[in-house]
Amino acid sequence: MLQKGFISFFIFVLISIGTPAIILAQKVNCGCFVSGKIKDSHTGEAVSGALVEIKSERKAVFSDNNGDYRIDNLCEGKYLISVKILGFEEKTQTINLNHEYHWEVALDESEIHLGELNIVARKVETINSGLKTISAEIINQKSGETFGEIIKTISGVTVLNTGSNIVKPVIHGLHSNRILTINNGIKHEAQQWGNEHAPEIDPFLAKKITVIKGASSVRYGPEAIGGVILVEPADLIHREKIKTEINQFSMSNGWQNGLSAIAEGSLHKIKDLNWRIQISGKKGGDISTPEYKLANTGVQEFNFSLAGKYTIKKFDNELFFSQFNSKIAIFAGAHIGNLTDLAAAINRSKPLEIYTPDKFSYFIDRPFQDIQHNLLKIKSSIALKNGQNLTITFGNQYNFRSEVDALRGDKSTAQIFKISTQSLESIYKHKPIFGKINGIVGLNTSLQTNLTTGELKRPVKSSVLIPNFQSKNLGVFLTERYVKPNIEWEGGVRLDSRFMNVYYVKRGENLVNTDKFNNFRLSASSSINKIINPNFKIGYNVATAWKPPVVSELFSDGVHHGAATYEIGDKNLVSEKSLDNSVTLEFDSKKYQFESQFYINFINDYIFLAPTGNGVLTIRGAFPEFKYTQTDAILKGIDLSNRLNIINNLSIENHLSILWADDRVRNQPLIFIPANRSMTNLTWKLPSNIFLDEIKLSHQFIAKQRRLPAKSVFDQVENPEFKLIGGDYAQAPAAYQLFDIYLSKHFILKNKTRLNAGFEIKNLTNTVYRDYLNRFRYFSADQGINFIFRTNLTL
Amino acid sequence: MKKNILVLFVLSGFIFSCKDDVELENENELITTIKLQFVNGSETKTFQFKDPDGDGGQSPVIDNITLKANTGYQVSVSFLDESKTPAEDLTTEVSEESDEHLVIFTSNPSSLGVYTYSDKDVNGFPVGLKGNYKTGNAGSGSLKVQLRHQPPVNNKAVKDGSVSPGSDDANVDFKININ
Repeated sequence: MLQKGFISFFIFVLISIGTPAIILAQKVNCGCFVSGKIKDSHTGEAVSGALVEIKSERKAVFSDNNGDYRIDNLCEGKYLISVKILGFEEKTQTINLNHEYHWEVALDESEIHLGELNIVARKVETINSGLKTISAEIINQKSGETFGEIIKTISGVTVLNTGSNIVKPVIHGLHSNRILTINNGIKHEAQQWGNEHAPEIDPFLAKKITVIKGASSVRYGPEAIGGVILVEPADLIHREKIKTEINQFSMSNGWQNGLSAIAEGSLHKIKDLNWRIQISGKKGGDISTPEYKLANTGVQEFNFSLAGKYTIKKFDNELFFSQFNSKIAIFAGAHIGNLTDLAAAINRSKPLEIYTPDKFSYFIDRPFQDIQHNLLKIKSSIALKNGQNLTITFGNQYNFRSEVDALRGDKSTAQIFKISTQSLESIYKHKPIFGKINGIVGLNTSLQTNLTTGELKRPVKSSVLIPNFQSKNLGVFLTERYVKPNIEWEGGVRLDSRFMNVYYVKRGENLVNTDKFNNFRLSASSSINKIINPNFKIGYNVATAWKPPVVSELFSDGVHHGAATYEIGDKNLVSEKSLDNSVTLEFDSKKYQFESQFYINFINDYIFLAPTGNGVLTIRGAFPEFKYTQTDAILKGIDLSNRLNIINNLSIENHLSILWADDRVRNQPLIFIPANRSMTNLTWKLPSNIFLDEIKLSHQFIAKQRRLPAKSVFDQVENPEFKLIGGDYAQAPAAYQLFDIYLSKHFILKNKTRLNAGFEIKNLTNTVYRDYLNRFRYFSADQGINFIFRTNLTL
Repeated sequence: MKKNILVLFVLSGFIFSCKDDVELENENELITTIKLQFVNGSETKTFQFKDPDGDGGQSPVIDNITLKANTGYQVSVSFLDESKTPAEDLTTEVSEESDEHLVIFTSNPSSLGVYTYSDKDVNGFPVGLKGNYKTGNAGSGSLKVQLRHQPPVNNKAVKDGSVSPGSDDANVDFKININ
């Protein structure tokens, strides 16, 4: 161990001082050899297919499946030997060959730039074939857009909006607490339950976003019924020089501007200490629909993060801190007092003039949301012998949210939520069994505390939306993977327990009530991929997942102002249990690529909110009563992607997402399920001597959601006070189509400075539309035409 | 140069990292009670809509309004929060911000009576905390009392004397009998 560390230190010194190593070979004993093993310094896994080369002798070999290499028939002498493979930093070593020489190589992952292509070699997280990745290139092309909008590019992923600034991802029709977001290795913990609570994640920091479509509880824990979103910044690698990246965007709609700067480098005084600092901010004002502006729809964001990685021998230590701040204005015309106001708003074809000012403003007035999210991560991993590895990750998160309403008096009244989460994950990668089966054993623990009133165990008010609670979570899991050239299998099991204590004051009482909710459950998963021939791959996943009822589903009791509903929770709800099956087919040839995922997700005891037909009389008038209830649901769907290279550099791709979601007990569709959609991109990459690099024309077609529930979920009330249309206040909006155009050009300036410039027009035809899953469709049309200019500068 | 940029990054991070939540009061102000007072000479009648435990829970208690036919009454309205002890009178807050509030009385059928405002805000628009109610012939129906909250939008006043802007802070239907 020490020796290996010493060698890598030696290599480091060699490289860092840049010793020119021109060595002459002396021809004496010519039966010598060099051998060794090549490994990934990070994971300890063998790296096969690396090119080991002694240039002066014109001798080269590739490392085999076990990472071993051997170069024979060398004469005694001094040589410069190098190891390289795409995705890793090249390593060189000067050796003094005398009969034999053994060189163990630990390669560091790297980013390699091939023209404008960004290739990052990585270990495979899972073979789940529902996994889709968004590269840094695409993230940069979409800079300035919300996190939800960026991942919408994946088929099967849609969004749930509250206006333009609050955007939640939806995977295969499921959202909020049914999908997990893993931000830089830590499960993002905030107030995910609310439809108007978007994930507090800065897309500027993300260099890669991976979406696992489908249940994935085994690796990531309960709640991953719909899928998992992994957000990762770039790896901290050794850099000779400080690398700086500046991203800028300007949008005409809302005159939104944003800037992000990332600097990363290595301290040379302390060996192997790499760091990164990032800040970003954006500011936008009133959004415009094709026909009018919307008063009070601005947004302000300021985020920063600091990261450090220190490698000492086989220990990798990482420290990461990020803070997300945003202030989001809520459209003034969507602030309603009661159902009469809502009905009046729905019946207007255009919001009242006072909510559609002629004058543009950046000012954020009440109502607005003010949010802060802090994340601290400490991670240590130790590479042990025989490919074993132990990783311990500690996370501490604090989420502050205040929803400031327009209320009477000179007081800014607000609902304030504070939630803090501590988590610890330990993962042990065992040594390969029979050299073929790789796997990990993991232990997750976390403690979460939500504070809305008084102290945790001494709440003082009964009028809070979410009561105080504390939950303790424990999970153990095992996943194993077996890989042969044409077949891969992965399977796992997990056991979780969640203990939640809720502290609340009953209406009109002073006594503190404590309710305890304990849930235990086993999850399992199995995936198999078969490579039929080099062009054709087939995969099958089956997984179970579960979600204990969330505190809002258990305890809601009050008017939800955004939705004009009186919502009532049910303390007797039980956990949701899902069984998700999916088949994937992939065909890949030079001319044509095809990807498809067919899925069927059975969710028993699916929790949802449904109208009872009764009204609740309050001092602001009567509200329709909605109760949380459970049913057995089935979500079936198809995600299809086709891509055809028409001629050189001209390609067309289409992504189709179709979903049927039904209540199996009542034989009717579920409510608020995204409509079927199709996305088509025509991309033309131009030759380098033309003033543009790329032209992309995009078309989206979103169908009308015609599958709406007709029957009442609760026992039919005689003479219901409220007549709803398919459980909703307004008809589902009509189908719509949008066209976008994107142009880009990249420049290489002096000193290897790279500049990418992009120009985009969104909603090119300025189409008036409303989306079924935008909660503000009752009040206003969606965004109109938007001209966006972006630059990305790397130096 | 690069070092300076770094220092700037770090500093700006620390400056912006303090969360200012002092200005916010986490208090739910609640109207639980609407009190209507009808005065005709020496006769004073008071009717209430009371929901002391707020939304949900116990149903509100609503008095039936009984008035004499073809009679003029001076009407005053007050708003209380009786979930607190002692009860808080929110009428003063409404009158302090009278340029953002409007009380509206609607008789159904309209032949039951006519309401006229007798107070004005700084901009000359009615407020409705004080007014006159002239009853019609005998009959029965409902009297809707609305408190419209019409705060400025993007720093621009929106109250124009009409019902449309803003949202309801209170919206209550009383049963009314005219004898």
